[in-house]
Amino acid sequence: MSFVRTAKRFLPVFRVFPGLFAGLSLCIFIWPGTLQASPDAFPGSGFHPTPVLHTFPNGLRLIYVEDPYSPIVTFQIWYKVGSIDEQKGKTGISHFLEHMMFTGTPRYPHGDLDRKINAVGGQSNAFTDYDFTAYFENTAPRYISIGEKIESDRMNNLSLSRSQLERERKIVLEERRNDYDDPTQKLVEQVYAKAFRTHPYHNPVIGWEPDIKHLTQADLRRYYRTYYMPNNATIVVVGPVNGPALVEQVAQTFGSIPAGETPSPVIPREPKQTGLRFTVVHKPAMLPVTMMAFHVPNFKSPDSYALTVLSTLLSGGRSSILYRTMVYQNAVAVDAEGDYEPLTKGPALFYFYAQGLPKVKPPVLRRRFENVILSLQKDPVSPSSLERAKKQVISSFLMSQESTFGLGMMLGEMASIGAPLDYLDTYVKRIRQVSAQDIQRVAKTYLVKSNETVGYLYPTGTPKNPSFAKPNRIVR
Amino acid sequence: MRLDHQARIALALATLMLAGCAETSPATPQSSSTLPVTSPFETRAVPVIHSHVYKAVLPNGVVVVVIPRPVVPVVSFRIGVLAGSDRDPAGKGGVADLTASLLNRGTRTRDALSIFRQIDETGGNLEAEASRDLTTVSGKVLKSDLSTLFSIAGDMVQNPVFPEKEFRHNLLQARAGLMDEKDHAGPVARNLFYKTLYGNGPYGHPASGTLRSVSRITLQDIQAFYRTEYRPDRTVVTFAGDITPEEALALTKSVFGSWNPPAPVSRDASPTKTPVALPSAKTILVNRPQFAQAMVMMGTPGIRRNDPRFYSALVMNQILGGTTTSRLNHVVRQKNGLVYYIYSGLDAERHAGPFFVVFQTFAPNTTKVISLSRKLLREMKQQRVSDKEVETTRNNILGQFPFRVDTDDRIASLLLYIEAYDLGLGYFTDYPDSIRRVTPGSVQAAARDLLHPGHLVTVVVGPIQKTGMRPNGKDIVMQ
Repeated sequence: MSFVRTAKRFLPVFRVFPGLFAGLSLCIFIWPGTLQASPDAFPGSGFHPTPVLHTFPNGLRLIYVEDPYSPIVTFQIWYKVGSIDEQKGKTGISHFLEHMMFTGTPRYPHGDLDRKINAVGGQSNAFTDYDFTAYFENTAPRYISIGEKIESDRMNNLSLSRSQLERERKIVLEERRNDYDDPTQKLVEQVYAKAFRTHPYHNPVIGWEPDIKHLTQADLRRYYRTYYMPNNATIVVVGPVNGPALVEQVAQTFGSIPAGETPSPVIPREPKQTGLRFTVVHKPAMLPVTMMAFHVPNFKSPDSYALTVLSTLLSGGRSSILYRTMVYQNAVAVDAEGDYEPLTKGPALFYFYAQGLPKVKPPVLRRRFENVILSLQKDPVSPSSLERAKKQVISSFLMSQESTFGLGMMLGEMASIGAPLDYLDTYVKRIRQVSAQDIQRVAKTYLVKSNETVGYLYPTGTPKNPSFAKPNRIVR
Repeated sequence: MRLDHQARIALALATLMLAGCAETSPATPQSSSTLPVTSPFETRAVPVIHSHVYKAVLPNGVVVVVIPRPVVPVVSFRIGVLAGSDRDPAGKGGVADLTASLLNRGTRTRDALSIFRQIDETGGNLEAEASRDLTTVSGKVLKSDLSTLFSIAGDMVQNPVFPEKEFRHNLLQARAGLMDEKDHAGPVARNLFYKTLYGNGPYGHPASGTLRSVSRITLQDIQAFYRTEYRPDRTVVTFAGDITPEEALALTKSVFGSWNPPAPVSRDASPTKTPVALPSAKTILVNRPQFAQAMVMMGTPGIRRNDPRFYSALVMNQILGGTTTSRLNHVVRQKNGLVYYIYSGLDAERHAGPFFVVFQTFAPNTTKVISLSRKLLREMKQQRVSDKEVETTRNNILGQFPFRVDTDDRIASLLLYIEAYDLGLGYFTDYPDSIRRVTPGSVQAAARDLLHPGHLVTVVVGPIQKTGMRPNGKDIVMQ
């Protein structure tokens, strides 16, 4: 109980299958950091994960890391397409197409991919996010060619048949209903929709239900042809592979797929926010929730490092400001966080999230957050807490590289949003350079009312504890 | 790829050890040919990651198990106390977990805030929680900060003081967390399902307890639980990552070596006997009119982890509902598009958990999915599976094996699991061997023993009216 969690868990990553079969925890995403390739990050260690980038003539990119210690290999393909690329009225198409990618090609009919991968005990799944759609096959190293064959085939030869489409639509709608029934999910969705008015981050990744219901075969075909091509994809491989041999193999399986016209979607800009925005959700629930979101820059800005350290000062561990002041002492919440994800293609958000104790009113949680923000703006944080937070950021960054799959995810996400590999080389140094004045400055610059969107979840018609009623009677 | 001198030697050594082991049968006990006779360690090969597992026991009974895996300078560890919510006092479900939650709220030499600060200063993570059979303190940290973090963890386990104020605070938090669960169909369905099958048995309540059981817990219950259950001779420490067996043993000795077993407190024999009698078929409907979907969990009592039928049952479960190509998935999702997920599970740990099927579906489809599932259970029980299907599934399970050891956290947890359920250090070769021995005949026998479609306990959480379920006199409806 009482694990320290981050609010990133509320930003759904949609997959063709739920996590049940893959056994993969998407907690891997919790850490906003990335790979440290600089050798001095690991003094005295023998293994430095070193990503190598190779670009093929058809524009396909391959990033690989030779990790001789791993018992598995992860083969991932990342397409630069996500809900950020969707048009009004066609939301959810990226995710719908991701589902359709499992419904067969002339060579591998529906079900073949799953059979092939299950026959060797591998893991295969896919996920769609705001900025990317990714597919992966994790297997024992000797089966890496299964992933290569599947992915090269479905990059170009998807059948997209009508009968498959109608069945899959039902499954996607089931997936959509999964989050309807979660009160917090509903709130997060509304806060995003309020915070972004014109930018496509306004829409949930899975799409609005009426759009999902009306997407056509022609829509999906067009979308597939526009975005699925070698020059819009990056392959990521981590495991006990031999680099040059891998490059040769990938050239053989993907080399003959012709490049297409590189997509250049026009993404509407989000105008600067000029006033406080509010949204309220009334739902049957037991606990109140308050969320406050502020527009902030993404990884491209030097401020992203200070914002990363700020989020750790706020909720990294139990010595963090929010845990101490809202959960531990004068407790008003079961959970309170300040979270920031710098690795986005579009504009980022810094958000506060608290789930209150029963009967605490959402505005009370907001006032507590405001007190914390005020003090961060007024006084510099203490040197010891700043050092502690930086150490936490750097340690988590280094520790996250231990997982083969996690390392691949990090590299793929970076490639998809346009973060260069040298972002990694300087990451630790840039975190170390963050000063108390930087923290104070970003708090003053971004955590202001004119830049804020507030969301409250008010529990209503609170469900009672289940109690036994007489058999044969349904009381409404 | 760069390998420095040290790593090259490590790699060469690993290869040598592997070669040494290839000659000894993995089934032969004491096949520790690569270590000197005086070594404190019992060891076995872990071929899947080209390493070895090492085990030693301290004089006070603390068990240390290590798998070195020098990928990056990170170490994961687990401190397991072999007592979980299965040892909660009757009617006071949640004592084990609440006790675990208080370990970081003060020791003889540190108050809670000092513990929080010192943990965060290492840059690592340290969490304590109780599951059904185990209390686990889990840590992950850079090697340079391992001894600091491990010492804090050791202090928490050996010297907690359980301040009254902290007890009240954690009780409040636990109650809030349990209230929040009421909003989610998953925990509501799961808790009712287990309660119906196991009543007052060790798995009848969730490790977190229930709102009612938690409100009965006193500080004295916590102190008594700690005194009775936390003992060196019931403690297992595991490490995985950039650490040698010698380093792990020395660190454990320095932190736990002087923890002396107190005189045994009388402890009821664990209620290991789970009701074997089959329940009669029963449906429990929990009305959540605001939901769009119904969540359904259905099943019957199953087997324990160390049951000889376990591996055959595992293969049977994979065929029926354990993979994306399983029969349940094929029919309910791939052919009919009725669910986003459906799977079956075999919950087998210290005690026999259930065999179950679980899914969520748009409420009007509920009865349809239930009857399709029942039909598949009946077929599985009555019709022999083909050689081909068993072979494919064996390969599937064997192919999944490397994923149990692909991160330090997974390895450290797996080592604890192996010790907690007495699976033996030979696990890393025994497990694949046992899977290879499964035949269509043994799968068939497991299906006959385990599947009882006529006795299913079914819990449905959702908008009952919209599900079309018509409760009969035996069914229970909850609002």
